[in-house]
Amino acid sequence: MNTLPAPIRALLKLVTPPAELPYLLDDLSEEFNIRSRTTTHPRATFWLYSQTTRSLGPLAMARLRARRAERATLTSGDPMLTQLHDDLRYSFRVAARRPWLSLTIIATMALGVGTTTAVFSIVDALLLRPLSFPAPEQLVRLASPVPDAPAAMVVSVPDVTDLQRTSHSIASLGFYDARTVAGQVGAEPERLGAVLAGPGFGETLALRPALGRLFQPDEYLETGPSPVILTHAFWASHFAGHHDVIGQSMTISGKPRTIVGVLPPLESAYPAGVYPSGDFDIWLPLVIPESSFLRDRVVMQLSAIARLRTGVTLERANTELAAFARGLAIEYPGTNTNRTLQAVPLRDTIVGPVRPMLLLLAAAVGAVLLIACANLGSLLLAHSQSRVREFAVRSAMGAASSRIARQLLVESLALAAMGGIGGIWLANTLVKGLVAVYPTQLPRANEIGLDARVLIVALGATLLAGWLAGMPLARQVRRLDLSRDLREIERGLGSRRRRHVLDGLVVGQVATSVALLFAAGVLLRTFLDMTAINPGFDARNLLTFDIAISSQPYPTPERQSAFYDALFDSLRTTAGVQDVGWGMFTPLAGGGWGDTFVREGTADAAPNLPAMQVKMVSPGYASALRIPLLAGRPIERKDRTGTPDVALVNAALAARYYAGTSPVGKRITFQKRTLEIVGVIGDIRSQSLWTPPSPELYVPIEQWGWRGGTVFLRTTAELHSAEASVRKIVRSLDPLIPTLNVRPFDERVRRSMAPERFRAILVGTLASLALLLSVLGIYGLVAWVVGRRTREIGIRMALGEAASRVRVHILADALRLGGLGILLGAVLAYGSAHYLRAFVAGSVRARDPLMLAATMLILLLVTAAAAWLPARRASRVDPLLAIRAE
Amino acid sequence: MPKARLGELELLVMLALVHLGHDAYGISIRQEIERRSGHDVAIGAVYATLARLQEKRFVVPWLSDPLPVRGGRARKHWELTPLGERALKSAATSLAGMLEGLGLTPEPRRS
Repeated sequence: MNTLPAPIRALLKLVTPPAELPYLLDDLSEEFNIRSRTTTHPRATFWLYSQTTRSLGPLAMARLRARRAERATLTSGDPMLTQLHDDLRYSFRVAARRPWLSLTIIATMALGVGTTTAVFSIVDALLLRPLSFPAPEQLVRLASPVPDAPAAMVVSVPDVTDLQRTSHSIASLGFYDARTVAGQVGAEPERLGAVLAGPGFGETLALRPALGRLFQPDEYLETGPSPVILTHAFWASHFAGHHDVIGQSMTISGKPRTIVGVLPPLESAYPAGVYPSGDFDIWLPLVIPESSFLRDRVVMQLSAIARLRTGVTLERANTELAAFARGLAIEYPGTNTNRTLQAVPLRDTIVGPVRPMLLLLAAAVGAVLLIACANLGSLLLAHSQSRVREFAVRSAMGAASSRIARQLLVESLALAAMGGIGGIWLANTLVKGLVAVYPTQLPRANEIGLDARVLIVALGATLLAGWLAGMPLARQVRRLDLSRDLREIERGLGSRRRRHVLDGLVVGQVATSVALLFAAGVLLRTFLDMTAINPGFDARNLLTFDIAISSQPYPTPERQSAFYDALFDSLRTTAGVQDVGWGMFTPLAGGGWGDTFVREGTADAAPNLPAMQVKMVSPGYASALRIPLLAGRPIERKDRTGTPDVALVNAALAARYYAGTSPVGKRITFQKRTLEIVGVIGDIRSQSLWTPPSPELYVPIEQWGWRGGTVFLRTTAELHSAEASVRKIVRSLDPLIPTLNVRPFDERVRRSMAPERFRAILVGTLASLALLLSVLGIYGLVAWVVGRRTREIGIRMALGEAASRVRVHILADALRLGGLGILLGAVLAYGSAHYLRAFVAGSVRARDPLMLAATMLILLLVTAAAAWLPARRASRVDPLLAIRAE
Repeated sequence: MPKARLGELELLVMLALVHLGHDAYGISIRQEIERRSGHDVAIGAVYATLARLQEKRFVVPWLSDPLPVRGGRARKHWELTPLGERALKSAATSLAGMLEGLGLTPEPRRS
């Protein structure tokens, strides 16, 4: 019992360390009481005052020391770490106490961080990192867009040669092309990807060969030596990286060539953007004979790469190029009217085509990460209700609310970190998978991988996710009002503010899901629409393979014709074969070239000449593909070198240029030759399923003398046996000719739809993920609300409310929230729909109202379903148990 | 670990803890010191000394059950840590070494 006089207590309170004061006072009064009993009161009082005065000094010192020590622990770094350590230990204990919740959080985090990291590593490698050439920002491709082919990246040789002479902004340039050739290193001939490098090509890229040298000037001449340069990969795989390879000979297209160099191991050393299938094995010098049609100003078939002078901007270069093109148009109105010239950054030409796809992917993945964070945030927040008592106790023990908030953030960050580690592992797997399933070969694919940059982003994503997920709860705790929160718990109510935050998180999740699901729906419809397009030919039971004969053993057109005649006669008599044809052109994959022509007896004149795509095909091509003959006759075997030039036109050309009359029997002039149109065939989708048919001219391959192409074989035989007989026939005719890419044509058709399928599947998967997370979010929220209100529901039911009313009440509550999210999501989906424009085609619109309505309906149903279970549980509450439970 | 030198009052307080065992708290320590050494130590000095010893990790407090009276409070008891025991032994050894053969050791006071 404390009986000390007030002045004494006041004095002691001044100097004593606060934590010790109650004990000190107890101690003092204990002895004072004893002394009061055993001696006189004045003596005891004297003792008390003497004790107190003598204590003041030491106590004050002790208090000072204590305060100094406290300040030291607050300012020095170590105690912060100690606190962090404590927080972490505590976090793990909390996490272990609720393993399912923790696992859910970690798994969600891993998913979010994993997908984000994987997509970033692809976007980074393709879009963000510079190309691996010296000063890659100076590299541009030259292009001469014409109104008919705005995206073509080809130029006319005389144009660019003139440019090179006069340009101030271009330091160097080189022409190049790509071709598939038959080459032979070992016993078997194989198909090699060859870059035809013109003078200055390798120098413009600033490539230093790993071995040997680049081509020399005389090697670009028709009469010069025949060299070849190997790519690093080809050298490694075919020559085991032996250094004595320089000077060795290898046979390419039947012609021996001397190996003069090996390129450096820059995988992206080839402007693969030109030919997307571009895995190149060798470089050959690009020889342009004086008589070559390539030297004709009208012909635009070669690609050109250029390096801008140091300090020259792209704008300046393009201004110069545009002015130069205008000059050409005045000088050569016959060929250059409407033709422009421009420089496009090399990087854009390589990764440009995949850019929108990657950005779509990044947006979808970012949305999923955000939804995951919102989900975790609400999960943590909902569960925090059960921890209010814990917070109250800690707060009563003197923990500042900021301290508790920090502890909660550490908790969510620790969970996020564990998820992040899983995410990095997942990202590694995902990246490999994504690259593997990407429909076309991704440019620079081999540069994709997890490196320091990607790991930093993964770390960033993890921290951001942990922070986003922990923030709602931490903010709540900072404004913790313990007495009220505890009271609300007693009454069985959720904290109203907490409820608001939770509602907001759920609305956000639903809204984002609507947008993602809508995008997925639009992409899926695009894909489905595509499968419904009639391509104009019949891809079933059609076997295709590529074949090319070299000029060496078949120097004359007669020899070549003889080979193909023998080949097709053998193929036609093979069991099961119904039709055979071949051409320099594969439907859906493009091929052929754009050109203009003059209709006989009309005033057709430049620059308004009729334009069309020219395809070279053999007899039997149209019938093998089941392209209907609409008028006249097909190309026949009699149409060959030495006979009058003939051509077929497609229905689109007939309709555009011979409206109302039949083109059969009409004559046209192009490439300085006069042709008679002998027939009209149906339109087919030549470039892709989406590209509507355009005017096309089919000329007999025999009359135009190309030596390779794709063979189409309509057969009822089973694929494997047909393939075997094809190979056998070709080998029996000439064992040195490779037969490649033997595959059913409908596989090629499917492949041409792969990008749309890929997009639909990928975004669909992400949308499903988002939907799943939202369902969990809604379910979690409703279940939590029901749990909090069990007592209230019990009372209401005890007072006679029907179970069905309880159910309806809770469902309505959830649907109100879901509805708000759905409306917001609809706005979001419509607002961001223009990003989808790049991916939709045909009859599908990016802002498809029906699709939006369907998406909204799905989300509404899903919300109802997610809320149904907890609502049903609520309606089955036993009033007695419910009231007793709290 | 370097040997921490003990001050006189620190030595007295620690010795009192040994004598008192489980019964060592503020005032009992003060009384024990007064009874055995004759020094009338101020209670504040005892508290300050205990705080210093706690900093050196020679002593630790523990809280007793609340006293069985109305409004009874827990007392803050003190005990030596193993480190404190070692420090005390070492101090006693050096003191005994210094006193040896001087004939100074008096008979303990009896009160």
